[in-house]
Amino acid sequence: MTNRRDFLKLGAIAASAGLLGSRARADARLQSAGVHAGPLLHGGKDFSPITYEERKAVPSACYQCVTRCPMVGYVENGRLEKISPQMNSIRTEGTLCAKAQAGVNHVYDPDRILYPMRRVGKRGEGKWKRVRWDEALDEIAERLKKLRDAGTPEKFMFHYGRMKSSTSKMVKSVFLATYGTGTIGDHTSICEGSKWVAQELSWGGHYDNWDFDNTQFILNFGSNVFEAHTNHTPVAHRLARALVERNLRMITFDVRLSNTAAKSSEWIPVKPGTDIAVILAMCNVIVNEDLMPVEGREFLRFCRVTRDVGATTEEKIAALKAHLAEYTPEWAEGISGVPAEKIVAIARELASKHPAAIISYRGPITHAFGVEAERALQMLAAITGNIDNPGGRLKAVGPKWKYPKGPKDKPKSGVLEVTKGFEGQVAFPNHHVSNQIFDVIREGSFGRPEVYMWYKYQPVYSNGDCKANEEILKDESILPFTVAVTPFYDESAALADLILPEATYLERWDWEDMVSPNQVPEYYIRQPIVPPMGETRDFGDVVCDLAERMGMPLGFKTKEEFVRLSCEMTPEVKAAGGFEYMKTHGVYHNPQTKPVYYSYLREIPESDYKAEDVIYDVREQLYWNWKKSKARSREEALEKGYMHTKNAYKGYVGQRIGDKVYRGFVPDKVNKTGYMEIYSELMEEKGFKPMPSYYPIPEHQELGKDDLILTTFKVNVQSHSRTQNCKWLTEIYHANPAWINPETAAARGIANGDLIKVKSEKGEITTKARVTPAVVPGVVAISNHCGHWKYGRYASGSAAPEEFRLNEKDPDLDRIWWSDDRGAHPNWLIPNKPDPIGGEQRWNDTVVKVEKVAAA
Amino acid sequence: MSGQASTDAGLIAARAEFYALMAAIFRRPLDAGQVEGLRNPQMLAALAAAGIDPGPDFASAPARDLREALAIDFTHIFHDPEGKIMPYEGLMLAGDDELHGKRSEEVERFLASVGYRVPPESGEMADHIAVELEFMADLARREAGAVAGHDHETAERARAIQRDFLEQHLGQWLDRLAGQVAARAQGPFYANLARALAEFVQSDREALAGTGGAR
Repeated sequence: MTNRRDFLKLGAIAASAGLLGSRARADARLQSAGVHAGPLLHGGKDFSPITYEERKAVPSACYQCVTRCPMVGYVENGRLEKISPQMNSIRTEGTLCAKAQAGVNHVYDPDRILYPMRRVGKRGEGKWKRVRWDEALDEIAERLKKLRDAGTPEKFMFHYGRMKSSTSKMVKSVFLATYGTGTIGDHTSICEGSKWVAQELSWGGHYDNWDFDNTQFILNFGSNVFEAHTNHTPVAHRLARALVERNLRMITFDVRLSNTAAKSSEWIPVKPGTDIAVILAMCNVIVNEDLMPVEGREFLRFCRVTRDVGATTEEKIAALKAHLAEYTPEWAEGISGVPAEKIVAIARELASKHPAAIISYRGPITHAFGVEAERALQMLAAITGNIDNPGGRLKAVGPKWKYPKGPKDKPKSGVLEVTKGFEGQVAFPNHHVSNQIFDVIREGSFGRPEVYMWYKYQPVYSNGDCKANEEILKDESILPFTVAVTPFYDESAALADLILPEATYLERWDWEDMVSPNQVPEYYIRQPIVPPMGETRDFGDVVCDLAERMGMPLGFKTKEEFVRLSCEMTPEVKAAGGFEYMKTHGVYHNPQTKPVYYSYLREIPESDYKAEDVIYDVREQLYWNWKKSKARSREEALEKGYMHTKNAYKGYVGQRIGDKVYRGFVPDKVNKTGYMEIYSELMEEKGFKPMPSYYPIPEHQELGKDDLILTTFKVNVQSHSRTQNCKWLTEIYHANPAWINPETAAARGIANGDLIKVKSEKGEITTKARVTPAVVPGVVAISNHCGHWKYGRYASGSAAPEEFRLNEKDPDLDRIWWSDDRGAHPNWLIPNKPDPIGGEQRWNDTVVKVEKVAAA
Repeated sequence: MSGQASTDAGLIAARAEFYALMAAIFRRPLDAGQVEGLRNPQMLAALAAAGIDPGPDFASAPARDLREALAIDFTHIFHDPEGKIMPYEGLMLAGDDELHGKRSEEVERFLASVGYRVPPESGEMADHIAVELEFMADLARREAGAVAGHDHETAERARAIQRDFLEQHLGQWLDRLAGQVAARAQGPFYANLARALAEFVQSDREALAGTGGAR
């Protein structure tokens, strides 16, 4: 054994050699235990079950999904112990889902990445070197400066999955704009891009809120709102309340008996991608049987139903009848499998109950021509008078934050046109075609980024055709330098050159701005409940740091500063008490604010529509400011006209209807009029029918006898790919067997629990069968939450080799009782193919074959 | 200060610096200055005398290459997303399955009971190996200062806290950590330093156990 004095000598020399690190600071802070006694409370506090001390409450906002519910984190001894509802939120009204409460698991996930990591070895080899932030950011800054100095800043591509509110403004509107790149990818087309395009073609700015608090009837096409929705808990609890307290009827059309369908008054099974037929037939019934309620007839005044915007109501009804004539209930039955008499009955019921909330989500949308399903729903809502009215389908209302805009002089951003699909592939790529980005980059004719950075995104896992995605991301000749910004080691980060560890949302700042279901805006913030672990950093802070290194300071240094300035700049928040108020209370709404309905009826004063630079388009009968468009002169604008002047919609002022000028349905992304456009000249110019129409899904027209259609779905305790490291959630849901109807299964000799292979043109997966009548025949339904091969032990189950196990007696390894069934990822099977109208990834169109795996 | 007290204080201070050196080595990959410091002839001789072999190329390899190789090995041992060793007392010992678990809280309570806390901005939890070693280093420095100043009460108190901490915490898991590091490391540096650390902590534990004083 070494002489102890030799060790001590080492220490003495080390001191003089300047080798020593930092020291723990002394801070006398002792705690004492007490016993709490007090009245029963309805939320808003939490106490340690051991010491009875009150835990520190920190109001913040969830981010397990895009709903971003206000919540409160409770801290004891510096540890986040619990996440509970925010009792003072008018959005959530004291509710919070399981995913939110399991957010605690993110912070203490032992597989988190806590330090920047640089690849050594080949991409995907799994060899890394921990580096300091300075080294990581210096490398990035150097590469970005080189591109900028060469006049090609657009070769820096930033691609985000989920990025909203203050982070979005800091990163996109300030940092990337100051740098000069417009090559920015998002993920909307793998989400619900075609739904938004349909709304932009019809009522303008996208997002529909559903007013369950005031409705009398709910008609649902393909939304699983009780399990997943972009405003999930705020609307779901209101729906539950409406159904229970007012005994409302809810009809759900779905391929599957989802939990939403199960809680509905009726589940109507429908074949995949055929909701459009049912919707058109319902419109046929309502119009041809003269069942339009008075609200619908009146609303037609604000609808464009013919090319001529000045048509009378009778002319519009005649046009509707003519267009819908072929879409009979009998025709729809042949397409959808829904009995004609059921279509008629529901149409009549809808027309007799006003107001009605007509809701939809990915079910009818994620198909070829999915735009048409949503346009048809808008038409159905319009003719029944359920647009932007109490109880109907509403234009969204959310808080409007003011924020620092960064340097006043920003360069004109360069753009690589890699985000909108191939030339001519998508008619209206308003929300990009992100599922095609890798293919477009590989093909190369629009150029390729030299630096590809992704943030809260999984290009490999979250798109279709995972195999191709992996190949492209591994290929340094296609993407020379890649950076992943993420808290966790996922399938995409594993292939990056550099990983920047972001702090989890429980450790970050933001101001938040999600839509309010009751049409009254609610301001709220996210703040660190516990400090960031390890060397993780808020990405907002990182871009400020990067900007300094590139000699382009943004005017603020941290996300906290950005949020603080925003609180002081936003009048309503400032009046309430600004940043300090928001830190203490977490949420704020103005109690004097009235809910917003009928926004289209607001009249535009003459001073606005007669202002300088505002011109009148005779054809469309609307007013617009030509200077906000791309027109070079007033003469050019008048000559080309509103519809054919690029970005004319940005100058829209108001729509003349009769002798008044109304705000109308303000256009966004495309030059539509201020009418609710059931008739779209823009669609017509692109070669599609101007009114919502049925287009058959090509692959489904000649299905072979062994062919099935693959559909994917979500569950309430997981969000896409990114919650599976939360052990509490994954204990509940960790396997995703394939749902198959008994008739379909019997034809293939498949029994419940059998191992099956599901094959498509892209590949195959092996999974278990769940034989159930809860899915229509001819379909195999697999949720998209399982099948990780990275993302930590809970998500993927890859245990460390025996000799590296942290603790042989670790009881949690024994507690992972689901290790033999972790499911399969359906995206391996699904090609990256967009809806030709709106660019939506066609998640639910894939044709597959299913066969039983023979016993060994 | 008496000659004996000076010698005792000197030895105790050397203990402190040994702990501090190990904390620096196991906290993060070594920077250029630290690598050069370890390669100075005095340090190399001290390492050799202590029976610690940093590797055959340690003294001669180009500085940049050596630093890179050590960083890769450090990352492989402690940060590789698949198979890393997590140098936290709770994860090593007590079956905690997540960061900042019960054992980590026990260490925090121990520190708090004697007036210490780990600042949140340090980015580490109380039961990380580097933090526990830094805690020992600081206590030993205080003991050394007290001995040099003839403050026997403070010296005894500092010694007692070190003894308790080694018994209840640090001394319980170093062998396991060293074994795992040695098995995982791809080069000799971290493997041998981990073994040396475990050996020293064991000897320190023994030294403090009976008499309440360091020798």
